[in-house]
Amino acid sequence: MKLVARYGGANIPIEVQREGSGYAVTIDDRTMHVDLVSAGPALKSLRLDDGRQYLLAHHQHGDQHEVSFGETTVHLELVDPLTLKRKRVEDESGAGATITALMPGRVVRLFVAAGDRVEKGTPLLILEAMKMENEVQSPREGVVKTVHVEAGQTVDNGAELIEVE
Amino acid sequence: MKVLIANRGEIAVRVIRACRELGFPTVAVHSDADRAALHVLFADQSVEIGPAPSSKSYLRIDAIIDAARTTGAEAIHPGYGFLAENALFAQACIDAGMLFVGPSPDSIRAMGSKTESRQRMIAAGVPVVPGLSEAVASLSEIEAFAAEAGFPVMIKASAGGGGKGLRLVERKEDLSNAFERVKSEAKSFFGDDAVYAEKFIASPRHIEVQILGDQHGNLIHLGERECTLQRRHQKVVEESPSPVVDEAMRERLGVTAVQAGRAVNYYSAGTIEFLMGEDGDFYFLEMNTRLQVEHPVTEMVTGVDLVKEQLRVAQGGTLQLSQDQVRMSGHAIECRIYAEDSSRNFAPSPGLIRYLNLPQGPGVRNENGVYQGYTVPIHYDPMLSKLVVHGSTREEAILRMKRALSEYRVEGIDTTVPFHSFIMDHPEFRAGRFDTGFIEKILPSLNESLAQGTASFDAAVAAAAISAFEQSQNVQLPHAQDSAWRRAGRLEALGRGTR
Repeated sequence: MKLVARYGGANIPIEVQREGSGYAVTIDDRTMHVDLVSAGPALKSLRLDDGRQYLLAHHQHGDQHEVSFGETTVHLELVDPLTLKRKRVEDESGAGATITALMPGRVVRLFVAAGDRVEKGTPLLILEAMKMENEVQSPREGVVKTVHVEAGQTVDNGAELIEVE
Repeated sequence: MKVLIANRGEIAVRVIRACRELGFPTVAVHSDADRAALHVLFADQSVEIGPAPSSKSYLRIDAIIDAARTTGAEAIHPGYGFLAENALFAQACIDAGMLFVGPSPDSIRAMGSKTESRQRMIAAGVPVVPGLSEAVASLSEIEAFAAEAGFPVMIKASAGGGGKGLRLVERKEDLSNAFERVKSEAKSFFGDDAVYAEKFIASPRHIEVQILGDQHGNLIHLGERECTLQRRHQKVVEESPSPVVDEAMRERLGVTAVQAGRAVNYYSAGTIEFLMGEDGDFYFLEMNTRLQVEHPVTEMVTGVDLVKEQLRVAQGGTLQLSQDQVRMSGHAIECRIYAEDSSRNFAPSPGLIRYLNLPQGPGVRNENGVYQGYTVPIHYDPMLSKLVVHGSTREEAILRMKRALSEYRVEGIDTTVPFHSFIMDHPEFRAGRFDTGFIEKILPSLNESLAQGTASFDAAVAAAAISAFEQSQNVQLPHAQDSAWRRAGRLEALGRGTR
């Protein structure tokens, strides 16, 4: 099975095949021979053919994968090659920027309203979580198209806050 | 003696443990967001005292006193933060006929206002940092002080503490913005927007002394804690003893700390915080009239259970030991484990803990406030737990901490575990050479170290790809235009929540 891993702006070709009780996984031009077993409800143990092993937690939301080794967490997107083609088209046609919450929290103050002109770095709002006030700034210059939140509102991680175009 | 704990999280659990060892029944209080919090599950009894925001629950004196009355609690332990340094709360406990497990309201009042405590310390002959000794009414007073003392200056909330409500200002043009921000934080966190300013000592260390007294005039010190490693003025790693304090300096620090405590007739556990310049001169910074977050490192090296001492002292008992019976043995280090993403500028990371494995083994102590399956709420401080180790030497303690951190697994939310591991490896930390600017200085190299080599990256990709492959084998295509992939993702999302 062929896949593409999208990670840090790069598209890395992947191929997975069954091989005995394990798998052969090719990442770019590197092929690994591994076995993978479940180690309780949350963890998996991945072992390479030279005996080196990793205890990792794998979590998935759609195409988004989060793999954690405890000290390091890798976030990547795994898509089939056809889906990737469609995504590329979407990326090129999208003109505006939607600013999303990088954490759950509460909007304590809004600095802008629809129609306001903003520069890159203009403070848009303050999001408070866990006793810290965090200023969210505009990633680009443009005009505020929509404000999706109001002061006092609690938002989840990834919630759409403001659209700038 | 039934004890109500007016706090949440790991410190409430810590106090419950001490009560249990003394045979005291315990009562937890909680907000409606905390019904399933560990401290609530851990106590013998619990009472809901209000909605999620602290101002409507953990800071509600009337609701807490009511809870103590209805459950028949005879003593109230405030933990740290929240109402721990609120003299009105201590007085309210006493007025309701209960024991307040802490110092007298007068001691709290004297030390609680940073401006008044400075005046008291100056009068007692304890050295202080140059600064305004009174809260300022306007920006212009701070501007005048900064012009006289020179930059950098620190703007602080008079009622502040715990690293909240203060800003370092390096340039005149930043004063106004910092002044407004500190006032606003002071108002929302402490309900009091009074602020003041002081001179900032360059390249300082933050060293504090644990004191302990009873109501019969006995007051001793239990050595120092090195608390220099801070980020945004919040302590990150603490240790005892300090790598720069020798026996003679320990004696001077201890005597000065006891002198400071005596000036306010102190009893119970308290901490005198000093700022130490590169020359070894130290200045009184503030006193915390309560149990300190980092109290376990002192417990590990002295063998004294500070919480049990507090409870005995509150009952009118005498200290279990005198100054010449205090012995420091070995070295202890504490890492504060926060729900923060160290790879994303320490953004708060509340949410569901899908998996938790706490380190174990020789010399390891967890002061933990969470559990696997628990959702860390957005409303409170991000500290989840404290990891404490003890070793015979500083070197052993560092290597032990490094080993313990490698066993620490938290999945579902991000924590500062990798950050601590990075600190333990840092040659300057290992050499004991650092000041309060150390963390900011090493952060750029932290991000490089987190950006990791290809071996573990390949393993991560392989594990994810194999899972995707297995899903494609197991799941039937439901619609022609919908990939098995997307359906698998959706199933996963339904089963496991939205993160």
